[in-house]
Amino acid sequence: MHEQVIYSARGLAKEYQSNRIVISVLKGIDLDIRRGEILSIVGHSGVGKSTLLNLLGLLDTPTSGTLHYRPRNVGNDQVDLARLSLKARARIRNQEFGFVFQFYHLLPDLSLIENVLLPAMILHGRAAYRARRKELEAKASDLLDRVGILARRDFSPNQLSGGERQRAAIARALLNDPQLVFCDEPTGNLDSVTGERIHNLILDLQKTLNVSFVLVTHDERLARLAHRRLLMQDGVFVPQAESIRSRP
Amino acid sequence: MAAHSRSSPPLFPYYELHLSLKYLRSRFSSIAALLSVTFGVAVIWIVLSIMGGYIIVLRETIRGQESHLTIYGSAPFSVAHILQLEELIRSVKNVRGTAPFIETLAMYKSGQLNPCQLRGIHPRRELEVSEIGRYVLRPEELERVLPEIEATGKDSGDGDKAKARSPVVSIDSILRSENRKPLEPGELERFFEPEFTAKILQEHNPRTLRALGNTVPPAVIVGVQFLIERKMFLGQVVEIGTVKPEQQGPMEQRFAHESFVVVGAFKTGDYDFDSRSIFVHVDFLKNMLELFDARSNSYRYEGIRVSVDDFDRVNDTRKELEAILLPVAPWLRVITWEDLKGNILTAVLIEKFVIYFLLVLLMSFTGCMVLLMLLLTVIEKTRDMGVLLALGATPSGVVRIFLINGLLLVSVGTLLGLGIGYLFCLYINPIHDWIHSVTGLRLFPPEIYHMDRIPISFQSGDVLLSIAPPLFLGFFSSLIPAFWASRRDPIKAIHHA
Ligand SMILES: Nc1ncnc2c1ncn2[C@@H]1O[C@H](COP(=O)(O)OP(=O)(O)O)[C@@H](O)[C@H]1O
Ligand SMILES: [Mg+2]
Repeated sequence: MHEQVIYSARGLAKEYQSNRIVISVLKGIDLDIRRGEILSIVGHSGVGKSTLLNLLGLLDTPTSGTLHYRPRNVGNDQVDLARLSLKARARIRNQEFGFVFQFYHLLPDLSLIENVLLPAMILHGRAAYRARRKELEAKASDLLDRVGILARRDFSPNQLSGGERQRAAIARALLNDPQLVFCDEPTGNLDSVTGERIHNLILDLQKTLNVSFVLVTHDERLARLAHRRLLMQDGVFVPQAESIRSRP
Repeated sequence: MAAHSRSSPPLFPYYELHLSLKYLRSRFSSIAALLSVTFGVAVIWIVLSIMGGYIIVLRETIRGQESHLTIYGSAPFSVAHILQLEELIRSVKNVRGTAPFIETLAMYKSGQLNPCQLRGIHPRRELEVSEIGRYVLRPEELERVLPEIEATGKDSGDGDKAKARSPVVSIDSILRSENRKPLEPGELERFFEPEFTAKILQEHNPRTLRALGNTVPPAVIVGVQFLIERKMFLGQVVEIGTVKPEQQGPMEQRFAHESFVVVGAFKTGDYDFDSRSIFVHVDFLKNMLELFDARSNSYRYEGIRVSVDDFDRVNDTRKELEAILLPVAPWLRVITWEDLKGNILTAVLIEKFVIYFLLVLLMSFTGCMVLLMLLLTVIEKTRDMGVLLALGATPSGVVRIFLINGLLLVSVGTLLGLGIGYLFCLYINPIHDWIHSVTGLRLFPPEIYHMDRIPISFQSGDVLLSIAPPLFLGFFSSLIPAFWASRRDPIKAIHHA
């Protein structure tokens, strides 16, 4: 079932200009992401992994190259993401994508459950949110339960350990039933035992929810979980590094 | 799966206001900025309300002392043929009443000689042209407050002036009570009848009455400050001396003096007036000053006070009076009370707006507080913005969080300021009395401001003037950080610690 390509990038390039110097970070990336797969991207620090995730996650625009995305339920049409308005791109980030960051990035002013509910607060207007509050909170609680920190639902993020925060961040990424979750070094800030738990959690979620994960990581063990693994060097993927594995 | 339908995005997503409120509540700096708005609004409103009240009370006291219109001659004591003139004046429409008067500087003896203003009035007619019926105390009213007056002035040597001047509160409550009617003509005339003078002497100064025998001196009604400051007492016989205006011969022969009996008191609330003015019957004063003019075979007066029915048309009436009087007596001048005291009102009004302008300048400090506080929030929350963008917020939505933040802060601060200002104004006099009792300071000295309570007037225009600067400043102070926020690079912030 994970044969269908939901996201394809062709010839992605990204240049940064600081003062007069142009730094070419990505130099023609070709990439297909298939439904329900775990794809890992490895590479040295500063090679442009985060930059690539920003482009794929519609947080930034490429200097050149194309992005085509197949939304979950709009027929089977591919959408040329370059043509979308600012609002439509925000819409896709909100409903189709999830993000998990190395430093969790829970908002410290909100409780844990509110953090998980944030994508719904963005999706709905005030009236609609209020009307559906019970249902949404049940869903958020369910996700917190799945990631194993339901008991902390009303805690402030500051009261949690790093592993617990990352679990909450994963629950947040999943609230709006995304098709694709981008994780930028999700275990980069965790000890190995906690990292292991996060790995298992991602594997588990991928199986039960049929969500695709793109994992940018330094962590060899995390990279080995993936169905496919891409090595990035000098702004391109090194072809021989792509290793297609069967599902673990 | 409903979440994936292509519905249009909500106009006001839930997170904007929600986060805005969270940011506001969790920060001390936002409370400080809010309080500075509150404080600014409250101060502006209090100041405007006091100035407004001051102008109104000043206008009322002035109008109470000065009649609507006054007719003067070219020199003091030069208005003769008073009966004919009054008849002419009363023929003009809108004129309600007329009363002749004489005013002169005098000295009274109370230990040493002190200056005073001797005001000769026609009691019955004066009631028609001035507010005298509202501020002269009826005999029984005076009896009621006399113990308090005596207590107030008790230990007032020269050293304790502030205490001697402290207001006698129950006089105000009597004079300003809703159902007090102004004195009837008969009531005011009675003060000047010898029987009444004898009665006062009988009750308050029997020994002197016995010494005087059958004839009692003429009566005077004095400003209440004479009694409070213990320069005089009820039933006292005071000597008052002045100078006859027109007499040949050396100065010392022009001196005229008389004994009078203090039979009553009044309180206008204008400290200066109440501590210097003494009312005497005009018929007595004109003889004392020897104002009979043989040439015209009539008495000469200082002038004629005129009251009108419709005060708004007072300037028209003045023109009509001039048209009718000047042909027969070109030396007369017709003056409205605003001519006499109007520049005081204008000065106070200008002062009100100068102070307002200064306060608004100070308010820009508040604007800076709001600006700084929002800039801090933006700096602190840049990463939150990156997260929100990643989770699907639009850049404009993120900017709106800060805009709402600023506007909420400013409007809540403004409302609070109005509330606090209002309460402060309501209780300003108790607060002032309390400050006085604790520190001995009088922030609003009655002798300077011509009134002994701090007056307050709430005017809707002042509300606007109070809330416009903070709202305006607050709006711009919110816009700048909000747009600055939109120019920062929140995406960079989310990939770093
Ligand atoms: N906004 C930016 N402006 C200029 N250079 C940038 C910017 N973002 C990233 N870079 C540069 O791009 C390169 C790749 O960065 P990044 O994608 O974060 O690497 P990785 O995530 O693989 O460690 C780095 O050299 C970094 O300095
Ligand atoms: Mg990175």
